[in-house]
Amino acid sequence: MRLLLCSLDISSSRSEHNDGLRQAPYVPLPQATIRYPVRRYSSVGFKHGVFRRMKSVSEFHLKTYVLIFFVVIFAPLGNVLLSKGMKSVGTTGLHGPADFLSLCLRIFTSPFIWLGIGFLLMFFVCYLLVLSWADYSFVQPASASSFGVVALLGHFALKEPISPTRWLGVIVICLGVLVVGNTHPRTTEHSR
Amino acid sequence: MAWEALLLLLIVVAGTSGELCVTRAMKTIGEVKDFRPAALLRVLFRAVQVPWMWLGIALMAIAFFALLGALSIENVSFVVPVTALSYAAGALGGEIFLGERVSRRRWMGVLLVCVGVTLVFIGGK
Repeated sequence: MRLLLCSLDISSSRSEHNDGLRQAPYVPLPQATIRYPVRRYSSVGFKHGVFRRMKSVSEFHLKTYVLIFFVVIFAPLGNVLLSKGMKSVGTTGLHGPADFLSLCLRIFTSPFIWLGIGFLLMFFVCYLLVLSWADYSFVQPASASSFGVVALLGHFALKEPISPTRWLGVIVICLGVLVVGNTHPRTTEHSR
Repeated sequence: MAWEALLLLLIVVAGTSGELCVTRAMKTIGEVKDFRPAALLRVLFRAVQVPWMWLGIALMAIAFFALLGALSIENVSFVVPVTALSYAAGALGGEIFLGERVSRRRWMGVLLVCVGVTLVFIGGK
C-alpha cells in the first residue's frame, strides 16, 4: 500500500513537473538553432547543403582573420606600453631590499605597466582562441605581421626614423604572411 | 661561447615547444564557436585544467629567462635575429608534433617570414 502510494506520489509529481515544463517556453532549442544554423549540414539541395557549407567556410575564415588581427594589434601595443612603463620607472641603483621594494612599488603603480599587462593578457587569450581551431604553422607566421604594425606605429605615431633595410624586412614579412594566408588555416581533422 | 649557444638553443627550442604544447592543449578543447564572455571564461577555465597548457607555459617561461640571460651577455641585434629561426622550428614542430600538413606554399611563406624578421633586426634603428 505504502509502495503504491509512493509510486502514485512519484507519478503525480512527475506529471506536475511535465506541466511545468510545458508551460515554460522552450528557450534553449530555438536559440541554439538561431545561433548555429550553419552547423547543420544537410546534403540535400543547393540551398540547404552547399550554400550553408559555403557560409560556414567563410565564417571560419572570418573569425580566424579577425582574431589574428587582434593578436597582431594587441601584442605590439602591450610590449610598447610595457617598455614605456619600465623606462619611466627607471632602474637606477639597486642597493638592498628597501630599494627593491620601492622599485616594485613604482612598477605596480605605473598606469603604463598595467595597461601593457592588460593588452598582453588580451593578446594571449586571442592567441589561445585562434589556436583552438587553426594550425600553429598558420598562426605563428601570420602573427609575424605585428612587425609591420610596430614599424608603422613607430613611423607615424612616434615619428621614429626607420632604416630602409628594416622597411625591406617588413615588406618581405608581409609577402610571407600573404603566402601563408593563402593556405587553408586548418589542415588537421577534428574529432568533434 | 658554449653558454651563449646553449642559451640561444634554449630560446628557440623551449619557446617553440612551449607554444606547441599550448596549441595542443587548445586542440584538446576543440574549436571555440561561442564568443559570449561567459562562454569564453568557461573555455579558459577548461584550458587551465589541461596539463599540456602548464607544460607549455613553463617552457615559455624558461625561454623568456633564457632570452633575458642571452641579452645580458650579447647584443640585441645578434640575439633576436636568431629567434627568427623559431618560425622554421614552429612549422617543423607543427608538422611532427601536431600532425599539421605544411604544404610547400606554406613552407615558402614561413621562410619568407624568417628572412624578413632577420632583415628587420639587422636593419636596427
